[in-house]
Amino acid sequence: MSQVAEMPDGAEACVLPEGYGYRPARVPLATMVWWATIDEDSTYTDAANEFWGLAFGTRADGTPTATLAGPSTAPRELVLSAGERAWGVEFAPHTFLRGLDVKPIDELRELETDGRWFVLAGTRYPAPSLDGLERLVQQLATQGVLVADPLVERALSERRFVGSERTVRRQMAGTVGLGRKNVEQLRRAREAYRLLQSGLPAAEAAVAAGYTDQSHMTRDFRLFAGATPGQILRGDMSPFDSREVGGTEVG
Amino acid sequence: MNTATTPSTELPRVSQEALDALDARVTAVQLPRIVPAAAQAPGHDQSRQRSLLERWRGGFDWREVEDRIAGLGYVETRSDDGRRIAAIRARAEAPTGAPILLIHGWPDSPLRFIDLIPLLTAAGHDVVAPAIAGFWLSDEPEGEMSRDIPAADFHALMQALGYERYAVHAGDWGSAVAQTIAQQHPEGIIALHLTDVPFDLAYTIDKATAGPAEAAYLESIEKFGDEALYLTANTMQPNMVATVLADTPFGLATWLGSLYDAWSESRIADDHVIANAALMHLTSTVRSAMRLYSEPAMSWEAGDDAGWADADWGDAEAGGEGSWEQAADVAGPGDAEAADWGDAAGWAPAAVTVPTAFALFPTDLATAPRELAERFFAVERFTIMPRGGHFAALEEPGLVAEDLLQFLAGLGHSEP
Repeated sequence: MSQVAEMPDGAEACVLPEGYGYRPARVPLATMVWWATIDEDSTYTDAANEFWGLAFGTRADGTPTATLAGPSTAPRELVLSAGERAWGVEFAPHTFLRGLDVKPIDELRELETDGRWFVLAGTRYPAPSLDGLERLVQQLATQGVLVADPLVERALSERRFVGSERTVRRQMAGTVGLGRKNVEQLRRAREAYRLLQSGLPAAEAAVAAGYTDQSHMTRDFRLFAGATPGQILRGDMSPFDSREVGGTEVG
Repeated sequence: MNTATTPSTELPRVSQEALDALDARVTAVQLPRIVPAAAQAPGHDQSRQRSLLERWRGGFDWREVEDRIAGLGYVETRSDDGRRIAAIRARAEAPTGAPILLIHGWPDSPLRFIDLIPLLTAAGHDVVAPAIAGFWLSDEPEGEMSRDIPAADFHALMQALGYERYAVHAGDWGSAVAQTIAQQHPEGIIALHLTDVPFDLAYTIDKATAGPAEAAYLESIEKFGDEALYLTANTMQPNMVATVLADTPFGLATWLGSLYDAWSESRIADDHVIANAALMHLTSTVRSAMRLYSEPAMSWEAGDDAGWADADWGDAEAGGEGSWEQAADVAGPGDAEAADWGDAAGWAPAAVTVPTAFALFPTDLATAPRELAERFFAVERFTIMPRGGHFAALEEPGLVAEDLLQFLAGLGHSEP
């Protein structure tokens, strides 16, 4: 289904025949860089996830686009038109944009752009090419606009928190935008998908991923991906295929 | 400003003897012997040096530089204390936009703007690119040097040329001078367009109030200050280093070349480096150009220096330029480049109220966060550029012109 390509720096990129590909980001605060070339009109459903990012591209008629994509609590259906191109960078959930009061949950916010520049929080930045995304991330970090919360990072990676539950909840609300339990749930679904992909039968995958039973797994798949595990495995590019699952996450 | 005499527009040309003497020095240059084992030492590689030497002996022609300046236009006036103030002055065919003052920094000169100027005049702007006192043909002061001197010089120059209100574009020390002009003559300044936030402002910030991005920036500036060879030379040992550099034009070119390389994204042509080295040598401005670094710092360092005490107290009593009263109103301790300004935190420089735009280039010494700039300037536009370094006007004149003109157009002072 997907191919693993090797990038010049030795990192691995995942390239899907549908014209979509991604690779790990080479800078801190970002998780991955992705790109897509749309050859025919279609729709793609992206599974709900706690990540957020910036996307750039051109419409079929050449109009440039720049988008701030927030985390999603439900499957996100993307309408893709033939001739469109897009590329973007995804940020870790413990990072956020200073200047935004809240993360744009479930939102795809169009940013002002003319193809050479785009505007974020009142400052003009160069609209990056695929190769220029990481440089942009560094500039955003240097400007203090892209900020990481180390407490939240620890809470998410170690699944332990410093201080009280209330502190963590507040911190996470301000950074991730979703609650701790929400993130757990989303990760569990991704882990289950990984196990299913590896060939484990549904019942076993459910338990191994941490679900009480298979029905809970099915329910979460419907909630996050808009389809049952069976439907997903039978299809081509699944809602979970737009990013690396399992490997980079703890637990 | 001596307005009785009309500004002269005849570019003083270097004598042929001086040029021949310069060529002879370069031809006879004695390079150090560096065996392969020694060549592994840290620092820049020697490829730039080799190409500089080849070019200087080969194709570089100072007369071409003079012709280029003359082609754009030259003007000089005299300050009230009799110092020459020299400038490149180019006129637009049809001046539909505001006049623009371009201020260079160290270690360069108005030559920094040689490729930018035509882009601005083509867009309908008269351009004036003067040399700071002690650079190129602008005479250094006999008394203490500070940014106040070029600030006063340039405002007076613009008035003398008939430009009551004008915009300013600057970088490096030029940003500090631009800031001073805007503080002292806000009514005359339409806008500021700067490629960096003056570094010394960082030292006036109370660290307790610094946000994380500002703190990171302050840290990187301090680290830079500790490690930069040229900074130590200019502030702590200017007389000794100037003596070394003044005697060898090629040595000077090597010294400057290393800075051009360190601070630029793409390779700046040898001719630009050689031109500035030749210019400094021919005008004997190696030492005078360092004075913005060495003077205010030394005056703060030398607590028991009788010479400093005499100069300053005398001026204060006379209420002349550089007096304490004026300094307190205007620029505060921001004059000094030296680190460690713990007790200076109370002296906040007066904020600039004129519309200011920042165009920051990624490979520059440092990229200041917007909130830092906003402490001192009325920031109306803030752009992170896609490429380019410290000498942006030389490296990416198109990007500089585009942003500057768009900014001015937005203020109604340029016809796009």
